Amino acid sequence: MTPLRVTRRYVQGVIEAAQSEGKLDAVEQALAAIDAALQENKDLRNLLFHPTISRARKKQLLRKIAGDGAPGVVTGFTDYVIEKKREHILPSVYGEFREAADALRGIMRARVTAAYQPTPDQIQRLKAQLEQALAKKVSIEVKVDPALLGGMQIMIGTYILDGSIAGRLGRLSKHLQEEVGNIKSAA
Amino acid sequence: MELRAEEITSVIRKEITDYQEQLKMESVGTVLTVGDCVARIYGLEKCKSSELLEFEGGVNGIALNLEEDSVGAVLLGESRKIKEGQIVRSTGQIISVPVGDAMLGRVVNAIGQPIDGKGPISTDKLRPIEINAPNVVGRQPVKEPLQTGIKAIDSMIPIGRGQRELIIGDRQTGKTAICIDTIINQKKEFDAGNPVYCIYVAIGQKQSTVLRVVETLEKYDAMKYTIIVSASASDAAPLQYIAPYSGTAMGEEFRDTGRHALIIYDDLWKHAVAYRQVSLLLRRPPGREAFPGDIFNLHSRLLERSAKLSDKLGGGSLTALPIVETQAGDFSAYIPTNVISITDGQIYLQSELFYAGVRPAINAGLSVSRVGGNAQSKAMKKVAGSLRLDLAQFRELEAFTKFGSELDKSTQAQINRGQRLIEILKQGQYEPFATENQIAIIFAAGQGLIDDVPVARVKAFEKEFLLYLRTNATGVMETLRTKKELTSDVAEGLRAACEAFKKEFK
Repeated sequence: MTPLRVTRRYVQGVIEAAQSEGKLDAVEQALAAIDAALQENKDLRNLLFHPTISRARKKQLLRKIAGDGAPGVVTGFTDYVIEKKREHILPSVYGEFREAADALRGIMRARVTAAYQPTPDQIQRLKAQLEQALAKKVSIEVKVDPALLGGMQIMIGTYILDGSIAGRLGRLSKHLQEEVGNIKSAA
Repeated sequence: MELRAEEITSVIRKEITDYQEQLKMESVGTVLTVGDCVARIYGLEKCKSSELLEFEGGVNGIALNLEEDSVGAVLLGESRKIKEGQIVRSTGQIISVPVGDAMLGRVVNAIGQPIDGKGPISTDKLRPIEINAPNVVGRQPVKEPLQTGIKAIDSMIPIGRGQRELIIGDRQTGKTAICIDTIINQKKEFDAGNPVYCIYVAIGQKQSTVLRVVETLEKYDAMKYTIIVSASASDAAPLQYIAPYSGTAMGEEFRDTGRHALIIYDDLWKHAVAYRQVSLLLRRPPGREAFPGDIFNLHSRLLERSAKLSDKLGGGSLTALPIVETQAGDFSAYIPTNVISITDGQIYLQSELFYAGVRPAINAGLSVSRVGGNAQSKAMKKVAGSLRLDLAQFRELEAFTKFGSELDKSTQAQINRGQRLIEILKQGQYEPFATENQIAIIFAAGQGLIDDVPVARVKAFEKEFLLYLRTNATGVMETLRTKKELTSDVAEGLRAACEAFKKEFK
């Protein structure tokens, strides 16, 4: 089984529990905090994945990171994950959770990569356009990648709309290569 | 022909100004893992099975495993260029190869790109490598002969156009040699304007072996009606896996345009091994001999595409000569038994015969052609009718000759006849026999006309007898060639010529 599939099963459990308690946002925040800590801190990851460190210590550690105000669902989840020796799923939990929670809230997350930082006004207009096109609420995450040269790439789920200069140049170059191949073979 | 630089510039300028692009939503995936020419991809929700995938950096792949949250794909190129996290696009098509007359005389790889350094191939026709075989209505029984030019095969194991005849034997028993001879023998048909196009698919062969085949075919002027598809031992396993399908797509182009084609898969054992590798890397469960469960279907769907089409569809044909190499004579291994049951007959080659000097080393007792008999010419059927029986009786009695025991006259006669038949069926490599010559010499031997020629002199007799017939019995040979029937006149003519020649032959 891929780690992904395991994550999905655990997340499904967490989300159902969170929903029945009506604490979707609180759980998300706590999971975000854990995720941020894991991302930033390599030592923490090493510690969690270390086989000789006791489960009790790991549980304690995760509770501390989640914070005192963390909902019971989160602490219960982290304890259970440690108990079942599934520490390795932790880095991918937040992403999965957010996606599932967004689906519940009817929000689509669009990941926009642009060559330059777009102005807030541009983001607003893009958001309005996307919401109109998809007939859903859209939240936008912006990333800047100068390698795109210009324009932007929008990724929603597993779909991509590539309007970047780099992508268009790539397609033009492919088209030209095909054409030149045809001309050569016709000659 | 050279293109001038300014022409290219103007063409490119025109292309760029005319270039229009429609932005569209694409379904994409990201590479999770990659290695050993397989990749696992997350996403690609709308991906279909065996769909062509495009990786970044121009490498293509085929989606083979569709799982709950990932897609398993094989890579048709260097996996080194692919990194984790790269974007994969699905194309909505299955992989296609260029086909058509422009491919003739060329050596291409498994995806139809030329590898012979003779420049690009000018064909705009493409065919998907996997399509369904023609259905029952679209076919008709095999009825025209495909002459291999090899006496033992054309007489006893005749092959018809549209047939699938397996060639099976250990290494170094002359399997490829039979196929090359068959290709060379199609030159007469090509020169007569009724060509049988040949496609030789080399799967997992050494590059040097492929080169030798090409050189041989060039030497005998056979490349002009031949396409060579090479997925050599150093190519990735997925390429070896698709090579026979690409070759078949090229053959189908001839078949579906009412022409005749012959395809040789050299060999399907290595093809199965390549597919086993791919399957195991994709974590499909292994079965017998660690081959995956669909290995039978792999070969049957390939060989089903060889067919004789109905007259309504143009009456074209695709004949297949798959080769399977056995390990130490083990015909009951998994792949040989599979392919034997798929094909319309098999030609068994035995190393014992080969080393005993019987070349081609065909075991007449174990070789059969289930449908080729209908395609044999009447004359050949007549002379070859008793040949198989005579040989079988001889093989039974042969043991006695080894004891040096006293034999009665009729047994001795049978042994004498058998020894001469064996001699007659021996044939050098690259020496295809015309049908009328085959008939003449098998007639002479079968009728016992050469029973008094010493065994050691039979080959010399054959050679000179055929020369004699060409000059002194032109009428008989001409009727045999055109009518392809052994009328009593022709039989008498041959008998008389043989008697007359024997007086000259010392």
